[in-house]
Amino acid sequence: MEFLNNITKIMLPEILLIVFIFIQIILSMFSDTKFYKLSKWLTVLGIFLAISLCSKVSIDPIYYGFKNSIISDNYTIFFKFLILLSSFLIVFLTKKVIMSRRDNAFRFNALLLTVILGSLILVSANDFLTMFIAMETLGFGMFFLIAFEKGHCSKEATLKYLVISAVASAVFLFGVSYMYGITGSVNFSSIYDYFLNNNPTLLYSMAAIFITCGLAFKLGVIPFANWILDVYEGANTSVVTFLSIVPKVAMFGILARLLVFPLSYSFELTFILVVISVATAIWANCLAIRQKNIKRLLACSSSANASYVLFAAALVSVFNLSTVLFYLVAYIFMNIGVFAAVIILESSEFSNKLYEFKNFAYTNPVFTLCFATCIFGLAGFPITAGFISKIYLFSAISRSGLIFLPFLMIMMLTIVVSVYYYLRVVKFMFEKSDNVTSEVIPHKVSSAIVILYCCAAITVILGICPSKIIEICQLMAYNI
Amino acid sequence: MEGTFINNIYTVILFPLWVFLLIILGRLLNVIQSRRVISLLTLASTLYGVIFAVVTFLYMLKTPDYVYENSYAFLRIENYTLNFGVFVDNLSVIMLLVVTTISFLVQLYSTNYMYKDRSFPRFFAYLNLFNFSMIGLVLSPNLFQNYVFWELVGVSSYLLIGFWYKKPSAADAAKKAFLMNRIGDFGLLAGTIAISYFIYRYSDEASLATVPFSNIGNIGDYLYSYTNDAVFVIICVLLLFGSFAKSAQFPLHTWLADAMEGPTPVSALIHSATMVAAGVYLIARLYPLYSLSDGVMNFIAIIGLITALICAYFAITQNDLKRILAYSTNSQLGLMFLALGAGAYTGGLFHLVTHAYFKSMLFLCSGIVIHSLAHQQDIRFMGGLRKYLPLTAACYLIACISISGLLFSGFCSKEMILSGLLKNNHYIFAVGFLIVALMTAFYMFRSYFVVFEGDFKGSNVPLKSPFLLNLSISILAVFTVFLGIFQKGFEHFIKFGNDIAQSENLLNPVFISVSIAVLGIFLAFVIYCKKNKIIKPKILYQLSYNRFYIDNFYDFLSKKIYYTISNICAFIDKYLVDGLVILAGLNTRALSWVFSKMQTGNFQSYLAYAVIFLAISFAVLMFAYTMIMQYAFLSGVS
Repeated sequence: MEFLNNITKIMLPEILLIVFIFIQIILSMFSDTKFYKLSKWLTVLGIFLAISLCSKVSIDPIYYGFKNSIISDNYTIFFKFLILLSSFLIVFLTKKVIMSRRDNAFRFNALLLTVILGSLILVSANDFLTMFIAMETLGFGMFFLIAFEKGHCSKEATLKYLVISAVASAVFLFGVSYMYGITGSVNFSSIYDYFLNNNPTLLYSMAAIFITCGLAFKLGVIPFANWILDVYEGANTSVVTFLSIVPKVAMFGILARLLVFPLSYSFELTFILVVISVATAIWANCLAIRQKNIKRLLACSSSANASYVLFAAALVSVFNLSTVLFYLVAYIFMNIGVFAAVIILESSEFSNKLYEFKNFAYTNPVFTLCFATCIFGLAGFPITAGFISKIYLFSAISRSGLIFLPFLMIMMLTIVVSVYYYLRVVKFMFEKSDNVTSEVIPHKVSSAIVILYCCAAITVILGICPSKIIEICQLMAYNI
Repeated sequence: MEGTFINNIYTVILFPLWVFLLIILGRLLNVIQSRRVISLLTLASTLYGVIFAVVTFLYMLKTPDYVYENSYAFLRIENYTLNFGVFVDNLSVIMLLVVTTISFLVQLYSTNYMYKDRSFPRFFAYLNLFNFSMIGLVLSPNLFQNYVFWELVGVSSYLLIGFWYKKPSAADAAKKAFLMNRIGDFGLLAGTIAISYFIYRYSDEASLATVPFSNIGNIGDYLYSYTNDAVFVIICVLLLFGSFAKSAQFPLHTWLADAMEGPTPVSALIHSATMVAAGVYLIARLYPLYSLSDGVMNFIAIIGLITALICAYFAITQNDLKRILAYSTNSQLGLMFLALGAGAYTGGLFHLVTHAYFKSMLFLCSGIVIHSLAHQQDIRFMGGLRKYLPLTAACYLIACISISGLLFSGFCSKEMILSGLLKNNHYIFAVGFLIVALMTAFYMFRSYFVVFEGDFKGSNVPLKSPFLLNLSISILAVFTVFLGIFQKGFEHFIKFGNDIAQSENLLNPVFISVSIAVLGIFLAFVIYCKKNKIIKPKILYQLSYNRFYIDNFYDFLSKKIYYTISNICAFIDKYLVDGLVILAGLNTRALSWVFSKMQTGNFQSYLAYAVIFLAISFAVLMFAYTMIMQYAFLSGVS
């Protein structure tokens, strides 16, 4: 009875997604391939209904369900909303990949929904076991999604993703086992309470470091960062869009909770995380300047952005957390915009090489404008959301303590480097060349075009009047 | 009825701006091409201002101590509100009258004078821009808006000096004027911010932090009590630098003579009557502030006296007619500063008003002369022009008599200054003033005798002057002659503290100054009209002709010293700073190369990196931990 009660109170969106997953799987067995478009609309409908069911979830004040293993409050619902919203946008970008594999369209969407389901459970996890299960649900969906593209590249990418994911999970579980050994519990609240009465030891710090390093895999930061380039290059672009946003947002959601509650007693962890994030910023930004493939470049960029957020999240405070949330919101839109542009280019038979972008500014001015807006947003130029969120994030870091300022300075310098490679993309689009007669064909991928325009517009609007979103983020950060 | 006018006085500021935009956009869109329409619009906008000024002035005569202020919040930061709007009191209405009337007459003059110029619309657009900024300046309710329009006035001055921008000398002169003014503007801005800071920091009344002119007395008192003497003097001197630059006072005076490269109506309007008086106006505005410190007041007076003396001295030997008038303006502005600094507040401001009229008339006369001689400005090639241009000669003579302090309005204002100086027991300043008066009479009549008397030395027969030009100088002559009547009224209208009615024993100063003026005129008559040979003391002549080599000194400063420093900086920038930047770029590239070599594509190596990273971080952690434990153990901390 209690079980059912819990489900109706806090698990409705997840249950709905499970229902839709089963519908998709059943249809994949019986349906004709010519109904492949139905799968996409079913997914859209499922996500839409899940978003509307989010309002039914009880969040006040904090709801612990399933014997304290699931938590539901303002903060989780904010992240669930973010995940569902970004998935909703990304589903519209999957048109091409479904078209190329019509027979597997339903399976693709079932996997997509599985990943979303895993992300939703991940952000509301309140013990390490639930968290691990959610992570693996998410990961298993991702393996097959990455392998979905035709050709051997995607299989190679999947293999790398699989093996490294396994090692990262092992590292994570190793840390969890130590944590259990020290405290006798895997529940976040109990671990937090245990250290109210006991001094944290070095072993506890080591366990915390193992746990966070295990999570670093999904974020794409050092030590498990190198896979990101190969996987981004190999997988289908719409899958990459998904990979770069949904697991990452979910992971940041749970990481912030971990850092606030069970891992908050380890000051060594803070330093390790700061070193990790600065090292990642240097690695990703330096590596990116040699990339000629836009997808590899964006892989570096996503890794770098994750490192900025990780820096702020590591220095736990309410203000820092609100900046993290705002950065994620801004990043979602800019990143989806950029990837939408890449998808449009792919469907117009362009390769991903930067030098193929020549002449775009003259043949497709509006497309170039929107693409450039999103790129400028990622680079952090004023009047875009990227500028405001970066300013907000770094001001929070700079207030967190003098000892972190040198690290912050190094990170700022790497951002200068990042401007170079972002602007190189724009520069290529404005370069004139005689032998390339490029023409983007918009009607083939109209949904992606709409997404691109929307994201560019939101990037600018968020940059001009961010105060409302910042208020919401602050509210959520206070309510963690 | 007056209420309607006063409540809508902001339209006086906006009308010229509208006309300016209309002309510029009309030209761009090929809508307004006709010169007649352009000049009519401009005249209408200025006449509108004249009407408003006159009505407001009459109303304020009837109701003493009437102050009108209307402003709205332009910028709000917490409890700090910056207002923009209009502020009308006795001082600003007088300035408004002077600016609009002279502006109107000069525009009337330019309608004819500039008619043949190819850039006639551009000229009128600039005139409107200037009108807009000057009227905005005199109606500013606070020091910040004052600063905004102060800069705009500088910009329009720059545009008008460099109006014939294809002429290198004009372009250089415009740059010079702009740079000199920038030096002063920097001081003004710094002073404004400093006042604002002190008031905002220490005072309870946040509304005073924008330095509203309506409350300047309180602000002065607060500032004086919040700062020590040195800081107070520094702030005042910073503010004064703005005035010095705009009114071309001693260290920054060199731009005004060069500004004569602009068209003559511009010289008449901006560089003799209105804009250069803005410095005097600002001092009058902030008078309650300055008058708190004797040192500041003496500083103003001394700078004014130095300027008046040296510029009068320079004017004696110049051969360019407009340069003579420019130095004369400079020296008269110095006298105004002297008067204000020495406590003759009303006298200084009355001199501002009268000087504005007769000096603009002088410039307009010189414009007619130059025009009729086909752009000949050197007085050595003029002479005997009274036969060809009788009206111009008469007007020029009236102005000369007036500026020498012999008769008419100039007499009245100079008497007011002199008696003010004597009343405040500034005898040294009074002596300096008389020396300046002697030189003024001498150089003005020198120019008159050389230009209008004797024989004509040019080659072409001078042209007749057209009706409109004659009309505007005649009106100005009427002003010059009769403005002196209003001396008593002015004393009551513009006053500071109890500084009125000093004319009890006026006889002595009148006698002295008139005789000094007559002496100057006589000397000029003997030397230049009767052609008596005199021995020119060569050194003195050279010093005056070369203006004490101050320009050369500034040239030296900028070319030799400044260029040397900037060359050194450029060298450092090129080889050291750029070198560092290039080095940083190379480093990044090298790092990038290393990372890309590490990106092998084998997940074995990726996992190896992860393990190495984890191992290193744990090793460092353990090492640090042992060190800390050892230290804690050794130092006995448990």
